[in-house]
Amino acid sequence: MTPDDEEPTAEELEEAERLARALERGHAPGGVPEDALGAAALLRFSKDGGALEPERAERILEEALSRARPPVSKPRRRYTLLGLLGLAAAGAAAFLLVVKTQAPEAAALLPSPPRELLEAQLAAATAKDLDEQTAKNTALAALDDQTARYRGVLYATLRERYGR
Amino acid sequence: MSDDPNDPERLRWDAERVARARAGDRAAFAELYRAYAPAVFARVLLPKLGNREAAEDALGETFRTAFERLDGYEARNVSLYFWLARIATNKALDMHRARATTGRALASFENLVAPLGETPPDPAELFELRGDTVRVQKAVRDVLERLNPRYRRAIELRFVEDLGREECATALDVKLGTFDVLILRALRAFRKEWASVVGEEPPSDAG
Repeated sequence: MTPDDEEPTAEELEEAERLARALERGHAPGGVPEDALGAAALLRFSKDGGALEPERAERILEEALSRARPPVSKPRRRYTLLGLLGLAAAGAAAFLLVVKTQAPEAAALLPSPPRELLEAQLAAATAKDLDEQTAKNTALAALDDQTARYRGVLYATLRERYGR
Repeated sequence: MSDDPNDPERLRWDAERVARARAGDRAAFAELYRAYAPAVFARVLLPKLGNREAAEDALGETFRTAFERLDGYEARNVSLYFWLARIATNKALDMHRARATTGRALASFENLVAPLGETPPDPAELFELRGDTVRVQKAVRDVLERLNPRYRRAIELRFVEDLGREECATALDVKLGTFDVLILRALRAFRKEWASVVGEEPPSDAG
């Protein structure tokens, strides 16, 4: 008894029918045993290696081109790069504008300490080495006076610049 | 022109026709089609779909898409063939996905033929389809030789002599339903024997 003498099961009968339909019509709405169908496709392929008949091939081309839309033009890469560079430059310019408008106002230009103040500081520094108390007091009083003057000029400049 | 897909002469040939086709020259596109459609069909679409009618439809769709998107193609020192093969693979996948709707009987056999050739195939053999056919035919003969005579006869009648079901049933002196079961069993036996003689790669996504 060979394997094909065995009685087919109901499932096998159904599979055989679906396979027969698929091999004849190329359609099998209810599914098909793919292992057998794959083997059948290979056997058919082996006859001519999948050769395309020239006439059939030409018809396929004609139909394909009749359905085709004109080629879509895409910007070439260099134009894309130029576009990206342009966008980057515009972004950088916008950034600088924003930063500039939001930046704090320029600092006030403060007056330099006057020569008198520097001399008073020097006199006070040297007077501390003196023994005479009066000379020390005079030098410190002169320094206080020059410092107060300079402070006054400084505050006046700041008030003028910032209004407070 | 050499059969090597990346031969500089072939690349120049491709580039010239692609440029003309981009400018709307359909004759140039037809030249590309005639050069590459046979290999796309035999090497990609038929093995992935296992259904000649579906493979022909997919071939048309592949070249329609290629024509429309030709402007986006960049050669990168390889033949246009590989770009077309990628489009074709996607078309085959689409067809497998749509199978439930279309009811098409599709069955990939690329995992059966893969062990017969190098993967990827030798570039110089890419467009030499005759060599493939000879290898497949020899393997089929070897496998058929190992089948029991009744299975072998059923397969030869149906797929080598290309007879219809009724004629096959008559030739074998069985009822039509019996022949259907016989051919199902014969094909399964063939596949099993193929796997042991030639080998079988795991199914790909397109199967």
